[in-house]
Amino acid sequence: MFELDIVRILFAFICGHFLCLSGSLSQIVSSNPLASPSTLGFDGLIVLFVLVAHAISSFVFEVPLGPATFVLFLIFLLLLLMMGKIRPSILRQLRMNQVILLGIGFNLLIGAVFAVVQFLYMGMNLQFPSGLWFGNFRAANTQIFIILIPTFVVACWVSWHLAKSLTLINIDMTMARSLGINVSKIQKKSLLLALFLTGSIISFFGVFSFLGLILPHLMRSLPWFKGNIRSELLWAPILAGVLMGVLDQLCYNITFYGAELPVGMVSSVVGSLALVVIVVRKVLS
Amino acid sequence: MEIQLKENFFVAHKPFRGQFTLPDIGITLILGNNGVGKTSFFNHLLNHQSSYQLVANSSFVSQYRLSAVSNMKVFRIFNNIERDFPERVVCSFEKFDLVKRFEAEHLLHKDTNTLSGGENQLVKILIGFFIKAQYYFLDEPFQFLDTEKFKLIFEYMIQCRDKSLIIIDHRNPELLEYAHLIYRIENSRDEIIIKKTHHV
Repeated sequence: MFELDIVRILFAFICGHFLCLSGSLSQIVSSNPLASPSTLGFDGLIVLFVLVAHAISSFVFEVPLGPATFVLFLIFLLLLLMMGKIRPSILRQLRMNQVILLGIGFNLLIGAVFAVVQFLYMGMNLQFPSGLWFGNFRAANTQIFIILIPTFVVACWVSWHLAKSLTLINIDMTMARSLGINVSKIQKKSLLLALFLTGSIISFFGVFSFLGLILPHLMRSLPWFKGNIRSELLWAPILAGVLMGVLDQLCYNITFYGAELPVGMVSSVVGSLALVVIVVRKVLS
Repeated sequence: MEIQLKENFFVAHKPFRGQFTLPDIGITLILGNNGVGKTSFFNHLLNHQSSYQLVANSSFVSQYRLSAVSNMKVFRIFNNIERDFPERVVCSFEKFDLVKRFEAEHLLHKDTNTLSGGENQLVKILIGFFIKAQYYFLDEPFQFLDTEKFKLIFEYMIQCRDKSLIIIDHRNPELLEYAHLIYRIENSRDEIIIKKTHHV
């Protein structure tokens, strides 16, 4: 018999919404369909904070992992904003393709560091959050809504405001600049929002590999969102959230010998297959 | 309009110097060898539109391909610009006139990602002229175009007597004949200079 866990459905909805929006923003501002929170290094960055938070918890004083990671992430964001004000030229000199390459390299580095740290922890017989790589909502606390719901409202409002400029940036950046749009400012705002959304999800729920890459492509394959940036930023994430909610409930109710498969694992497999099918269909057509 | 280039404008670590007069009407041609900084010069003007009083007064057509991550039909591009910037676009009559003049009706319902090189160039030029402006900056507008399309667009440009067209081009001798002003960008050892070589 199917049970519905409303709290988990809400968590899954917010997760799907945030990752889809974050992926769309990354791809539109970089004019690159391969851009995503994963390829831009956002996942690796938050995992690094998880490792630091876990180290603090293991060797200094015990802290709840999710909130500690989120606090470290916020401190990093503040430092980034301050650096942007003090030395804006550093950020201005980075071109989008360089950012993507840096992001991929950084993700690979953090993956390797994670493996090393895991090995060392196992050697010391200490507990390690190995399940971090497969996001799930099992252990999530309802107090997280204090952060997630305002973030959801802000994300919807900001993406509504950015939709007009992003529509033109998607077409052609030179034309957008001709019409007076400050493209670099919009790029920075969008990427900051994407980073914040990704950080919120990974801090509390773990990594949902490549969902930020797959979900925008899946949504764009639907006729309501194809070529319509406004819909892609406002309504597609909502649909993605609903899909994520449904998937999570399926994982919750359909267990494998009593064990629940993490929804992050299942969504990565299902999403990747869906992406391959979409691309192959495009090529064949 | 006299354009005083900013002192911190550098191309390949060399200062870009010289005086550039932006005429209010006519065709201005910018010539120079490959890699000398012609596109960088345009990008500099584009990025400093407010300093050079070009905001709401200029339209830039780049040499790069339109590449929409979210693929859309060509007519939607015009609809989106018209909806979001109604004060910056030409009237409907002029819009239809442009499309008909450039024989681009068949492109309106094509996806941007399925356009060929020449079609892509034609759509970019259409978008450029769709935007209402006094100054039109066109970076190699005739690349990829066939002879017929080149003639159509060139004839239109010659007839734009009330506008100022600033064109980067280095393969069409017809432009030399019709240009009112010609600038050449030259690369010396210490700096890059833009200077006037011809004035009608």
